[in-house]
Amino acid sequence: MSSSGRPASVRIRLLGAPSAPAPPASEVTIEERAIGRLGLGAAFELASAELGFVTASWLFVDEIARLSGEDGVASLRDELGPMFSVLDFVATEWLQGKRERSIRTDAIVQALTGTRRVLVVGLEAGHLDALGRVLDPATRIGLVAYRLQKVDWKRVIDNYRGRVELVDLASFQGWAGARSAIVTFVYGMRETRVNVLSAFLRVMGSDVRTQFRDIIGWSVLSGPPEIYPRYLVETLATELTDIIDETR
Amino acid sequence: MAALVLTSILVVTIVLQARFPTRRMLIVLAGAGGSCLASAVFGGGGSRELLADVPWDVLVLLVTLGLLSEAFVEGRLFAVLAVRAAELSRASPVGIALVFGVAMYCISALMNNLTALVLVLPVVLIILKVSGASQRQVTWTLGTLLVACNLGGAATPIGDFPAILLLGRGAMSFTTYLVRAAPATMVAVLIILVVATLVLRRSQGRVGNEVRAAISRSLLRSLYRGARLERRLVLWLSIVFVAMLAAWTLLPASGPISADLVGWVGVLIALAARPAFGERAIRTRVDVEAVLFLLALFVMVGAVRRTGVFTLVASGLTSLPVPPSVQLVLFLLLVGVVTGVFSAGPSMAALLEVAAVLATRLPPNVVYVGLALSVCAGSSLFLTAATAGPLAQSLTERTDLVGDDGARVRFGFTQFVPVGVVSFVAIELVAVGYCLIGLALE
Repeated sequence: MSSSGRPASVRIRLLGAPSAPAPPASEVTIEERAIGRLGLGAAFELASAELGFVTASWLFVDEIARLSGEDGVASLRDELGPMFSVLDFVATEWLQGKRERSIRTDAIVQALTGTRRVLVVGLEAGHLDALGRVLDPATRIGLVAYRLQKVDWKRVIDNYRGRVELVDLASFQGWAGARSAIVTFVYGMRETRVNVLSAFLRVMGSDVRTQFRDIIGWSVLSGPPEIYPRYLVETLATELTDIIDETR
Repeated sequence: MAALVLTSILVVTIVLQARFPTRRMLIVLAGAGGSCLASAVFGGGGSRELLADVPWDVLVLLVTLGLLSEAFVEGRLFAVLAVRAAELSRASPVGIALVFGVAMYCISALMNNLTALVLVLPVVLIILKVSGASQRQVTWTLGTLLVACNLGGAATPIGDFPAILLLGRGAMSFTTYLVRAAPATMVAVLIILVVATLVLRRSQGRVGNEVRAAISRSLLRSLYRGARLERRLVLWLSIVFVAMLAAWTLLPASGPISADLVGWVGVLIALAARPAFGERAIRTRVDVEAVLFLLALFVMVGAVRRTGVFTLVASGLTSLPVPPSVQLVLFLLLVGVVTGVFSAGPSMAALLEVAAVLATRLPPNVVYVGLALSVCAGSSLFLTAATAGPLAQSLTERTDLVGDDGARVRFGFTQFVPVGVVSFVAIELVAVGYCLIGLALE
């Protein structure tokens, strides 16, 4: 990747030259159709894919609250909540009086002390931005480019201006080592199980567990979603060496 | 016989490359090779002679302008402009078409609009996705942007291939083209924007539009939160670019320092600000495929030119029993339709030869600017003919636009037709009007 995040193979299309033929049109899936009918569903789908569920939820809740107040937030929760459990959780918290999101980094920085490479699995833009700011600049931060939703990874990574590097699923083990750690985002914990993004299951294998010094879960929700978290997966908390929870 | 064979090779090749775009390079290179062989066999000169006739300066100019656009991308100019334009448009249906239409017209007048569109279109598509835009809104918003790109490209001698070809061949000087083409394209873009506004006003009053617009602006700020202008780089590039524009404007077209040389030296000075990026851009981002495509076209057209076919066509046109003004109008209509079918590159390369003959009997400036405007009209007729059409189609498909009714919203050949027909008629009318006024005044 270049400094601007563009793949090196991208070539300039010259004026007057033929353009590559457009790809065949794809059909809309039943799920996309359902989300599309939800008014802001497609918008939230896009936002959550590139910002993360929590960051996108706060963006939507803040904006709707500014324009339509509590009634608007309640409507948003009723309309999109059943499809997006994290949005439901954030909107409910907002309606219960939590009007600001705070991202604390003391504990995660403490947990990552001594590491030279941090591989982030999953995307929460607010948390990743904060981590990039507070972590020792000598520590490399990698972001695994895997997500079930469609993501413009170039756009995502351009925001970090080289501070965060894109790492694909096939080569993430190049980041392993005695001073390396994996950080993933945890969306609530219920007894011994935690909700994580499916990317974490793609990365975690018995071989990987021993290749990294720490496998840290960074909690981004103050509790488990009430509604079935369809974009998330459950895994055992014991898969993680540490869970950082400063959400309360 | 040579004329028949070589013209057949040219026509068949152009038809085949349009019909089978996935085999385009094989087809045009085979056509060029066949032309060289046939020309050599019939005694019209082999590849050495035909390659010597290729306007290499045009290719140099295209490559250098592409590299300069890429340098501005590195400075984050287009990303920042796109986000600012989104704020300015207030993300309203009419606002998007107007602000982005004007922005793309201005950008395309100075730079490679394909490079700019790759960065600007995703921002527009996000707004359309968040707003749950209807098919009509998507069609007219994206269609307007594409036509604005075409018109911007025709506004200046460095905006698009037809004008660059005129400049590179010395058919017109930089200033002569600019003062004639820019006002005409401004009139055309104004017409298109008025039509788009009238169509898009119906989408303006939808329920929940204000909320959607606010969310799309907020979302764009978040998605592009790291997009900050690299001021020093952009300042340096701007200074160099202004100096290049001054050289193109002030230096005589027939002098020793030609337009391509200005581009060549200028872009290297521009890239010197970031040597590592410059080296990488030259090595990896120049499209060899495009250079070969245009080279093959020039070879085939050169072979046909040597047989005198273009002179014959032009003579046929000028011997029609109608006034010269009507002959020119017929030629412009022919150019528009041919460009609509075969796209700007092939049609301009071939029809410029006919125009060159016409220009010996009619005022050259009127003929050449009319030609460039008609090529622009043809480029705007079908999505496949628009320079950036397939790119816009591809990016739209990837965005998966879904309307409020849950149906997929598309932007393909069929959807573009209404915008294309309106634009074709508007631009052709401007071209014909320009030529008739020009003939009356000269």
